[in-house]
Amino acid sequence: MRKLYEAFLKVVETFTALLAVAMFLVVIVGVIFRYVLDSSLSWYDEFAEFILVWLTMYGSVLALARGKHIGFEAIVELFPAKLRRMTEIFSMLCVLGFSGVMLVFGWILIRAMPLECCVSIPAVKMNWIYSVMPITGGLMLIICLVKLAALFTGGSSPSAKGLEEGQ
Amino acid sequence: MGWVVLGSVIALAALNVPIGFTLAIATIVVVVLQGTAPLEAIPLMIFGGASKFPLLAIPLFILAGGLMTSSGISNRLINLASALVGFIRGGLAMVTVVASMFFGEISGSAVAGAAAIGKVVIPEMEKKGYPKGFSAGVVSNASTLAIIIPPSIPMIIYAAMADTSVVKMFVAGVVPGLIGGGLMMLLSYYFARTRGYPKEAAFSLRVLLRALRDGFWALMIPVVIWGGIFGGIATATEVGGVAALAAIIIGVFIYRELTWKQVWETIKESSLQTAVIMLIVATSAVLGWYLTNEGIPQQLARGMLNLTNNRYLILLLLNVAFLLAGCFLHSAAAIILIVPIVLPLIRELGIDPIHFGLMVTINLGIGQQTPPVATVLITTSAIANLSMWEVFRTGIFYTLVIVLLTLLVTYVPDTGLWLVHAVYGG
Repeated sequence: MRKLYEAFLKVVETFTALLAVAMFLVVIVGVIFRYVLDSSLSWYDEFAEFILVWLTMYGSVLALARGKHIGFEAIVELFPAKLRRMTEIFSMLCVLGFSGVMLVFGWILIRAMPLECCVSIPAVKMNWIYSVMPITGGLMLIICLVKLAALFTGGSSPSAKGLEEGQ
Repeated sequence: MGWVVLGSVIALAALNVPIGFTLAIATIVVVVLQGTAPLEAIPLMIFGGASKFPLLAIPLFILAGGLMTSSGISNRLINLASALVGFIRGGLAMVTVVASMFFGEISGSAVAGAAAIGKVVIPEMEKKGYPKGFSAGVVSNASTLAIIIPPSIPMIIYAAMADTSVVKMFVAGVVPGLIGGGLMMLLSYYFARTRGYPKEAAFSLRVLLRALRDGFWALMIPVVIWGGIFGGIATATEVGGVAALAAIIIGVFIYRELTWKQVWETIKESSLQTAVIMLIVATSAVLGWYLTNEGIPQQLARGMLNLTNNRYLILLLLNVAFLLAGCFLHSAAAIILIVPIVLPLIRELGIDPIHFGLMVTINLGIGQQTPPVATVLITTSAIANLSMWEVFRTGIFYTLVIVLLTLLVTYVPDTGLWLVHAVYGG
């Protein structure tokens, strides 16, 4: 189980990094086309923006799993261990609620736009692009459940922030 | 309902729900309570909040900053700074400030600068007998010069929100950035005199020339950035990508210190950092959408103008508001959330949007140094292995320089605008 979860995170990590590479290349190619070849790519801005959204959402899934999201820890740190654990559970439940909204209403959202297409490339359907919302909602939901299970069974707190070198 | 939103944000944040989620959840709560908008608006607005072209500056400059560290570019800039000012008493503190200014010239992100310079300078300063808290305080605060000295991520985002010229914003940042750096150097000199911090090797023209030759390619990066922007080759946003490309080429092919594996690691690392910041940015947009729908910006403008139409007083109040926001939000998120709310007020008062933008940028620089949410301070404290509070306490005089700078650009608009007028006329 643990191995499967780690492998899943590895896939998300690689996918996120590939999105970053894609975004970087799109920007460079966009600049080259506009300035050097003097012919703007029509899809350039629009797709660079889409990749940024995907990068944000898939990266947020990974950051949630790794406990990297920025929070306000000063007050909670003063709490006794038991109360602190309860706030950790509360915090995870909040994120769970958010993920649920993203999954369910993200799904409703993409069902509501079956015919809409991108402005620059009509072959690309907007609901493919927007699929990132319910999918990452679902992935975050899974991560929340894993973390909650760990919190309830008393395993080491998985949301504790690791202050690794260079973070 | 405005109070319900504010209350939920504070309560959730206090209980350590990550800020990015807090902002979205608070909006979900009021949307459900009011029942006026469908919940599909939430994923739609988060998508919309992240899909804005100028925001590409965030990942691109974070990537460029990371690559400059692993490619050996930042080390050469530190060497150059050392050859320039190391001979003065308190040399390493001076070097830190000057290196941060160089780094600011090639990077739009203060976190990148703090990481790049802190990793080299903090251990070095410890060897020379500087207290660790002091070194970390200098590194942390001097890094904030990166967002004042162009290019600058907050300026790019502000310009997009306020619909004003990025390049003029950049030009406006030059003089305040130099003043800030100068004041920090003076402060370092004072501390070095009173506390007996050492000098480095005596000044030598030969060493300086060697550092210049060695750092030639590193110094080409600002040329690429400014040439790109002024030559109309790339926008201020895209130039982050160009800088990253330059860092790869220099690091892999010229300095040969950067391996492709390191490039990949840097990409992984910087995409995680990007996501953390961008989630807050995107969910700020959701909350901003709700507040705008409620007519809060107009109400605020009217309420404020009923209270007073003294622009000095209003600017002071806005500074306090941004200072508080900066303590809890990343600068990009604070701009996205607050600038649209206060813009009607700024227009009503006839304040130059460039002037206001410069004030906001420097003000949010203070927030990078003040706990609890202080991205730069956290980065530096982690490198120095000290608590955030200790670094904050020992660096407080340097943070006061940034406070002073904020007041200066607020009340003497020409500090920043003089150069803009000189370049663009008017």
